[in-house]
Order: sequence, then structure tokens, then C-alpha cells
Amino acid sequence: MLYHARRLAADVRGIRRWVLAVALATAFIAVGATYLAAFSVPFARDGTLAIAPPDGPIAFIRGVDPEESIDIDGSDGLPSVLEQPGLRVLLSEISRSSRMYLLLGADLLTTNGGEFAQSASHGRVVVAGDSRVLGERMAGLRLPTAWGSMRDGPAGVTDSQFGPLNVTRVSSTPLDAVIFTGGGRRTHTGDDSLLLMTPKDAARLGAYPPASVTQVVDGFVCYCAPDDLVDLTARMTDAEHAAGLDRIYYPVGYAGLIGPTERAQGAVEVLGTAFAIVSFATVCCFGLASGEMFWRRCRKHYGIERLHGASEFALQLRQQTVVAAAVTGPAMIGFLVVDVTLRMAAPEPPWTPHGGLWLIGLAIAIQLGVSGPTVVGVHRLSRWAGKEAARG
Amino acid sequence: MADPVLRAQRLTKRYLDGRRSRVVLNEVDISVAAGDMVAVRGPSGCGKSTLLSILVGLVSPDSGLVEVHGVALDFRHPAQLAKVRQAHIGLVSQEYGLLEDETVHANVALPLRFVRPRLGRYDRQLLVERALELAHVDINPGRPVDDLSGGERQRVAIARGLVRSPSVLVADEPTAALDAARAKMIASRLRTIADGGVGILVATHDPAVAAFCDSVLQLEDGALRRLSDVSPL
Repeated sequence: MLYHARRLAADVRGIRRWVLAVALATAFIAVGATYLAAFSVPFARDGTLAIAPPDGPIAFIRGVDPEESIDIDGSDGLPSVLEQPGLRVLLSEISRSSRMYLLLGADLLTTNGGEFAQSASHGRVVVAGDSRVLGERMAGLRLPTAWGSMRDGPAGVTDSQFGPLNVTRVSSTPLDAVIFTGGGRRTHTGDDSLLLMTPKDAARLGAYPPASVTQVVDGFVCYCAPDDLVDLTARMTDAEHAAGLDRIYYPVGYAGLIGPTERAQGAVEVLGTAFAIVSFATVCCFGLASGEMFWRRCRKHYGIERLHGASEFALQLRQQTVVAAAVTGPAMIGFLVVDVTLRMAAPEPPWTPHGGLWLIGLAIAIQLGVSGPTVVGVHRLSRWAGKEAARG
Repeated sequence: MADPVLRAQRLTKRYLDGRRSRVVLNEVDISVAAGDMVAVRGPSGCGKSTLLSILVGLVSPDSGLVEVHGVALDFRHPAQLAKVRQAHIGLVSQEYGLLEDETVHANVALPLRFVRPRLGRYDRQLLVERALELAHVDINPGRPVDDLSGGERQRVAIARGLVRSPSVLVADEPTAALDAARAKMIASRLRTIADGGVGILVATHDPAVAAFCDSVLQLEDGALRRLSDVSPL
């Protein structure tokens, strides 16, 4: 083994520029791919607007706020967005209806933009007056309820506490329950931590800047026809006008969700996902090409050593070590650099569930893929004629 | 005549040439005794290297028997082939087959590293020096191989083939890359080694090498024919 360790050093010494170039390029591409994937995969996972509309009627509310820029520049100390007149009307209506709910990010229900908000960014809160809106599986639940596994959920949310509220944890997550986001996307429960809350409790906690009124309203969903919301949106608009504000609310159906903004956002998401996929594919192709180049470079030496008695295992171990050092290791470092950096600089992106296992699987796939030609080549060496082995 | 150290009977090997099957070796018999130096000649592509590869267990024949030192090679078991090869056969590859980034000593000691890994440094040194002496390599063992001339490299390759004291040395075109003077010198060395009791089988185009052999065999159209019995020079 000492001999093989020495030869491994000689292998790397002979191709040190190649190893350095491949390692740097792989790490660089891996960083880019991970960064893109971190922000595009969640969108891809949630899916673009479902092609087939839901079975029953569904409607949403959109708002126009001429003074929105003032709200989104807000900071600590400003009144909760949920205190705004139109939203007060909306929360009141939700508390009386079994067909309506409001979906908010958990970070919106905090009093400041501090640590809790950052770590809670991938939690979701369903504000509803009646749990039946979330499907039959939810029918028996009482509000307020913390629902799902909190172990991997937002920091600061315990089994019994969300901010100043007492919540109850349900032991099992109904994995097959589906909720619609206000943007018309389907969200499957089990992906994120999910909290269920009454409109009254939500108003007590409050949705704070930098959430804008239109952002909060976008999270509203009603299992009803858009016409059924005409009266509600008129009352919301009237309440705003009565308070001297110019906000206007209007209902939209499922088909009306896709406007220029949604199209632009969709295009950005598709581009981001495509770039991430292309980057990952580049890592794979680059790795394969590098593996092939490495085998061309070293097969003569390996052939000579095999011919004179080196074991296949030792040669396989040597080439696997070079591939791990030149490609797989830098690729994993590239992925982890983004992960660690994003964890340090919140908001942390909502990673894919079981991301660690995926990463290990990816590492194994890269290692096997890149070393594949060499594995086969080393295996065949014992069958080579001496002349071919010597010529390489 | 001494017992053969390498013997093959009724060897047949076919290759696919496009869609046609080409017979490279057709019921070939060959035998090399200790102290014998046997040359196999023939045009390029006639199957000389294939024959040598089969005889050392690197390529399996379609049919036939190969015996090394009385042990029949079992081509279904690569481990047995390697064991027999490492115990009894020294290999000299065409175009030297040396590790260019290593020294003369490291190259000659290469088979010992794998076959006798527990051999002490001093003993290994002794065996390498003996092999270098047998092959008449009179250069500093610490020199890197890529500093050597063609003739020196070939002698280093022969020394490596001899380092495990094999019963038979199989050399594929050992003088192909050398000029006439150096080729003659290498052939002379091989003759001396054979006279020391090692059986030598050489595939060669070179009449100068053939002239040093005890017998010369011509391989053509799959058949192996004895050309002459030549007395050692």
C-alpha cells in the first residue's frame, strides 16, 4: 500500500495542473448551480399555476394600493398590516365563513425582522375561521393548532407556543391534504411547517412590514365563485375610502390569475430552474469529460503496473481517490459553501426535504459517473495484451 | 532435451474481422525448454503478439492447452493465471513498457513490489542489482528512465523481466525500436541469459535476433512452421 500511496502522489504530481483546473472549475460550477437551485427549486417544487383548475369553484382577491411603497418601507413600530381597514373587513368575513382562508408566511406574523423572522421564513400560517376549508382530514381540528412536525420547523415555535399564542400540536401531519396559495399554486402539506390560526389570533399577532397590504391579500383563497366576492371586495374598498385611503380590491377567478406580472414571474422562475438544471448538467458533463481525460492520461501507467502484478483493487482505489480529490470533493464543497453561506445570511431558502440525503446521493452519482470510464478501463487491464498495455 | 518450461498444444484463436471470423492461430503447437531461445517470426498482424499473450495468460484461446512449468493454465480463473505468470514468467513488452516518471531501480523492482511485497529493502536491492547485472545494465539505478537511450531502456525492461528469476522470459519485439548495432547487443544479452538456463521466447521481425536463437518459427496464415535450427553464435 505504501507503494500505491507513493504512486498516487506521483499520479497527482504528473497532472497537478489538470487536477487544480478541474477542481476549481467544478467547485465554481457547483456554487452557481446550488445558488440557482436554492432559489428556483422551491418554485419548481410548488409548480407553476396548475394547468387543470380545481374541481370546485375557487376565487381570489387582488388589491391595488397607490401608496404601497410607503408600507413596504416600514419598520418596527408601524401598525400591523392586518390593522388596515380593508383587511380587518376581510378577517372578519373569514371568521364567519367556512369557505375562506388566508395563507401567510410565518415570518410575517412577527413583530420585527429579527432572528425569528429569518429562521421562520419557510413556515406557513393558515388563517381560517373553520378548519373544514382545508379538507375533510382537517375537519376535527380545533383552532388554534400547530400542525405538523415542528422539529425541523421555524425556530421559536414550540409545541405549545407561537409568539404570545398558545397552540396545540397535532401528532400527525395529513400528508395528502392540499391547500391553494393565493397565487393559485397547490401546496401539499408535509413540505413545510404549517400553523393553523383563527383570524382573531392572527390579528393579535399581526402581519408586519415589510409585508404590504396587497401581498397579504394575495394569500386569500375562497372556495366560491368570483361573483360571490363582489360584495366583500366592495365593502373592503369602502372601508379603505372611509379611512381616507385609495386602496381598491376586486375578485378574480382561477382563469384571471395569470396577468403580465404572473407571466413575468413565471418566466423568471422557469429561467432560474433551467439555469440550475443546465449548471448541474454541466457539472456532470464536465466530470465525465474529466474522467475520460484522466483515464487517457493514466492508463499506460496503470496497464504497466497491472501487467506486473498490481491488484485491481489497489488501482481502483487510486483512481477513485484522484476523482474524489479533483471532481467529487470540489463539487460537494461548492454545494456546501452556498448552504453554509445562506444559513449564515438569512433568509435561508426553503431547502428540499431530505436535502442531506440528496446531497450524499449526488456525491455518489458524481463519483461513480466520473470514475466510470476508469473503473471499466482498470477492470479490462488484466485482459490486455502486453503490447497494448505498454503502448497505453 | 530438457523438459519444456512453456508448452502449448493445438492452440486456436479467431478474431472477428468485420462480420467475418479470421483464424489467427490454427492448431498451433509450441514448446520452449530451459536454456532454449526460440524466435517467432512473421509479417505484421500475423498473430505473434496474440500467441505470446495467450502463452502468458493475458488472452484466452478459443481452444488448446497451455502449460507453464507443468501447470496447465485455467483461462476461466484470472487469479490462477496471474499467479502462474508471476511465479514463472518474465515479461518484456514492446516499446519497453517502463514508468517514465520513475527511476531505473523503481522500474526493475516493480514486479517485486506486487509479487513479494514483504521483501526487505536490502533483499530487494540485491535482486534488482542481480537483474541489472544479468541484463548488462551498467547505468546508475537512480537515474530517471526518461533520461535513458532506447537501448538502455530495452535492457532495463529485460532486467525487470528477470528480476523475479523466471523460468521463461517472453519478449515481444524487444529490438523493434533499436538500430542494428543495439539490436545485436540486446540479442546477445538474451542469448547469454538463455545460456544461464532461462527459456526465452521472442517475437521478432529482426533477423539479427533470430540468428541468436536455437530455433526460429514462422507464423503465417495461422500456422506455425519451423524455419531452421540455428546454432548459437
